[in-house]
Amino acid sequence: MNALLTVSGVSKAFGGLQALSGISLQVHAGEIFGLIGPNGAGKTTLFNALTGLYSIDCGEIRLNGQPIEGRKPHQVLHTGLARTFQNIRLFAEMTALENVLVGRHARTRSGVVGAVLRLPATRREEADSRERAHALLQRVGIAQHAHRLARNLPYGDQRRLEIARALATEPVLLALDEPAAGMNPAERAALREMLLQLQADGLTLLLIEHDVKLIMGLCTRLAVLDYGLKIAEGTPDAVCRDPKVIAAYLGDEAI
Amino acid sequence: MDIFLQQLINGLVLGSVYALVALGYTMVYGILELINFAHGEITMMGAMVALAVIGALALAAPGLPGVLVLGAGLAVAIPVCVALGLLIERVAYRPLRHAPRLAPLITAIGVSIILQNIAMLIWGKQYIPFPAILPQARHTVYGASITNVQIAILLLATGIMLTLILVVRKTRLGRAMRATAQSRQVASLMGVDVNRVIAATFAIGSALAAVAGVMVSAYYGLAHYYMGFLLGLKAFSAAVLGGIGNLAGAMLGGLLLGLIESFGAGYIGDLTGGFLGSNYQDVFAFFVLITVLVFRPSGLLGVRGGERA
Repeated sequence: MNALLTVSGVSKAFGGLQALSGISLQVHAGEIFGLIGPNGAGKTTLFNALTGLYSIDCGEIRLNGQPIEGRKPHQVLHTGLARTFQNIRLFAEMTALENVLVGRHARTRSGVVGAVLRLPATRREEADSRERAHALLQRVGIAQHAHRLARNLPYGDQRRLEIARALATEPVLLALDEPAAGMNPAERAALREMLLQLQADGLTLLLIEHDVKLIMGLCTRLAVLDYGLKIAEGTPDAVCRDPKVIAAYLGDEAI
Repeated sequence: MDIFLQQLINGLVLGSVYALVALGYTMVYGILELINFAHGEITMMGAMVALAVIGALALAAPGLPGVLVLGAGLAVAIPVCVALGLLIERVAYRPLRHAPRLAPLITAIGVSIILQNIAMLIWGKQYIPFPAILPQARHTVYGASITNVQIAILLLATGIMLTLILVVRKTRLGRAMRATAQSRQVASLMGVDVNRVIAATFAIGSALAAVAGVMVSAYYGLAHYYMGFLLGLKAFSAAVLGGIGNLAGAMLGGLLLGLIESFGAGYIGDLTGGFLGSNYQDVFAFFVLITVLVFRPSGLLGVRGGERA
């Protein structure tokens, strides 16, 4: 298996707080890689570092062999890494369809002159974008909400819309920050099916999640963070039995 | 009735110019929460550059049709103002993107003073007459008169505003602008090059300002290095009146302000028994600004009510 994402020795401090200390991990193409750990362990910080939101103090991040540390968020996205957010961050005042269309921005190029003059190339591109955006809404199961404002969507559907928007950027690696948070069991089951389907379609997933049952059943491998350190990495079974992980995160009853 | 209609026409013409300038304030505010006080001076620069071109053409090729001469003036003024707007954004505002909000505001005032002085050095302190290059035909409609220039201003301004609405609502750039206005960070994480979108916003606003500058100097027949100050302040009041950050609000605010000024100037003499005359016209804009700020600080359409861009 070849490594799609390689994180080596990444550290990040905020003032005196060492949020990430020398994190190294590899995500292989086609797998679902889980990232778990107690609150404040540095999971979201790592996501922010990966997506170019935070500059890192030291270390290296490579996606598909290309270094991505030090790039701006929109440049990282161009190399094929898209994400969703722990606390939903949609464009609330835009419709569901428009949110997905913003995701198409990086993969389209037509300018405002073409739009005003209604040039054929621009109209084709816009039509194609809309078609793909509709297909993505369908795929995550919220096609019926296409023309509703994002802020008026039910909570679970907002999470799905975030996934559709991220997929619209045509990522090779999709990073999901607690996608199941606040979902009921039925919604979780549907989410699980959707993620497996995405994997089957060739996408690689990086997943932060607190639902241990979901993550153990879904992930091919996972890494455990605690206080900015990686304390374990491996298959769900191996990680489950690791005494350090049990002490830091899972607790005794999880075994 | 004919006086009423006359003031209505004058108000709409003036208001559509205010609206064009107000759009520039509101678009930049929507994205950066910055009040670009140099925007009025861009309007002035548009008028001055167009006048220079028109003057040069009058010497070089007398007898050219007026519409062509005016078109050439606009064709030079627009790119010059766009370049100026982009330069100001790059040099004066972008380095202060993460500074406290007061810093770019003061910089904006500084830029505005610099532009006034540059214009004064180039074109002097005197009022520059705008040559009557368009045929000065008057049409009489129900006892009120409307000139060719007024008709041209109304048509052009309406066309530009409709185009702008379509661009913001329907195009890739418009979506990126709205996304950036709602969250710069998320927009960039979704692949939008935020700096380019901000630059495009300044470019569009400056182009509108150039057109408005030419309109207003053609309408009054004058241009002056200081004209951008009052015009900018009034357009800013219009943007606040409509709800700053809101496109439809800027258009509505501009038109309302034009009408208020026009009717105010037309009727104030009668209302005060001749105590106050139409030279109090300029006071209305600021009276309106203060009233709005006291009773409805978010403006008529409010920032959150409509689409921000």
